[in-house]
Parts: sequence; C-alpha cells; structure tokens
Amino acid sequence: MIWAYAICDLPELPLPRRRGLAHAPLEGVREGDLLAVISHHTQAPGDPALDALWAHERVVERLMVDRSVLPLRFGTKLPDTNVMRATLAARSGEFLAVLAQVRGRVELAVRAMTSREADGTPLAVIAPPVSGARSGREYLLEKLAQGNRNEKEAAALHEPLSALAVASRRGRLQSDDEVLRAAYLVERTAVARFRAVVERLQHQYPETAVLCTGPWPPYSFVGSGERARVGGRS
Amino acid sequence: MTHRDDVARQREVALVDLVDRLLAGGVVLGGDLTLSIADVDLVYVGLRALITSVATAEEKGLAIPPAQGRPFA
Repeated sequence: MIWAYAICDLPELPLPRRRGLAHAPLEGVREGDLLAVISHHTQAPGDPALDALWAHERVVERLMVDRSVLPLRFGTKLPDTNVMRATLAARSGEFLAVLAQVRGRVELAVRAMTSREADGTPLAVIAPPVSGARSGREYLLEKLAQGNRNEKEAAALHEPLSALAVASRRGRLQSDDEVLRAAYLVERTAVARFRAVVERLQHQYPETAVLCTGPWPPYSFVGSGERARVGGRS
Repeated sequence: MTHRDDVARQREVALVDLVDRLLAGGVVLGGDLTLSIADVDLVYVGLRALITSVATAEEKGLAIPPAQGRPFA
C-alpha cells in the first residue's frame, strides 16, 4: 500500500531527499500538472503517535519550501499508485483550483487563552464570593456574562488578524480557558506583519495568552467547505 | 504568567495545533482511508497525557527536548 502526504504543483521539480514515515523514501506520482507525494509500505505505518505526525508534517513542510501544496489528511492510504493517479485525474480541476488559492500563502494558527495563576485559577474569571450566599441564578448569570466578555474579546482579537489574512476560520473552542481558536491564510510576505499584530494584541490583552504557531501548510483551507469535527471538549 | 508557564503552554499549543491540522484538516481522498473518530479520540487522549507529563517534568526542572522542527512565533 502507499501512504500519501500531499498533492502539489511543479511535477517536474525533483523530490526532496527527505524520508517519510518509517524512514521510507519519498516517491512522486505524476498526473498532468499535479504530483502526489507518497511512500510505499508493506505494513500500514498509520499509528498516530506524535513522531509519525511530525514525520508526515515535516515532509509536507519541506515540499512547501519550493511549491504550492495541498496537504492530505494524516492517515491517507491507498492500495497502489494506479488508484492515486486515477484520483488525481478525476479531481484535477478541484485540486488545481485550490492550489491556485493557496499559492504563495501559508497558514498561521492563533489561540487565545485566559492566563492562569500558578495554582491554576484563571485570572480572567471572577472568583465566586467565599460566603457561598450566591444563588444558582446568580452563578449562571455570571457564567453568561463571562461568556459574553470572552466572545467580545475573541472578536476584538480576530478582527485585526483576519484583516491581514486572505481567508480565516474560527474553530470551536475545546476547553473553558480558550477564548479564540482560529486559522488564517496569509501571504508569505505578510507573515511578519501578522506576527507584529499578534504581539500588539498580546500587549493589549495582558491577561490573555495570545499564541501563534506556524507557518503551517494550509491544512485548514484545502477542504471542500466543511471540516470534519474531531475530538471534544476535555 | 511565568516564563516556564509560557514555554510549557507554547509547546502545548504547538502540539494541539499540529493534531488539529493533521487529523481534522487537509484534503480527504476517500471516506474509508482516514483514521476513524475513535482513533482520533485516542490521539487526543495520548496528547493530553503527554502534555501533562511534559508540564510535570518541567515543574521538576527536568530538561525536555524542544518540539521537533516547529518554530514558534
């Protein structure tokens, strides 16, 4: 079987010598103007351990250095190169169109979380009075007010960042201390400016940790509309 | 936030961002070719365990190698 990493343009460009999962050499499957980058395996290497995730990611990042890339979801396996070639042929219009959308652009991830003191108490959450005199209604109203404050802050963070981006996506929050979880498709040339804005927002909201990772391959901007929702609130 | 908290949280964010992208993003070529939701949940459980162990180790002052290849902004 084959493990597939990414679909990219410039099929005539030689493949990087980097190794893939289980140290397998990378191979290219060409169909027209598209190239799928794969590796052959006798046994499925799909165990989603962190080192496998990083191995997959590093292949895609290396490809991204000199071409436009559509990263494939981790775990994409096909029986053989003929099936890969047929898939490329069948969906070439769609793949070429999305490649054009992400050309020269990278994905930056931003997550904002309320800061916590060393004892784990969130700073931004109003501490309940010790008296215990609050009613359930008061508690719920306070929770609601906190939710509204968080949403206001999320919007205040998201707005200037999305203004710098070609496209953006806000993801569902996965824990109570998260304020914003978002992905931004940004021109390579605008990455430094984007990070400067992140830094400015961090100064503006000192009680919130505003963290930015990337540049990532454009994982959040190559799906056909909706992204599968995985994982849950912890 | 102390520097150590900051480093630990940045590492946590990079791992979560990585898992988010590789397992929930990207092009899907075929319905039966990707990990099942159960598999993905296992990854999240494993990730949380790893993050906890990293945080604990750092609390005790143990040196942890940096996350591979992931530059932080």
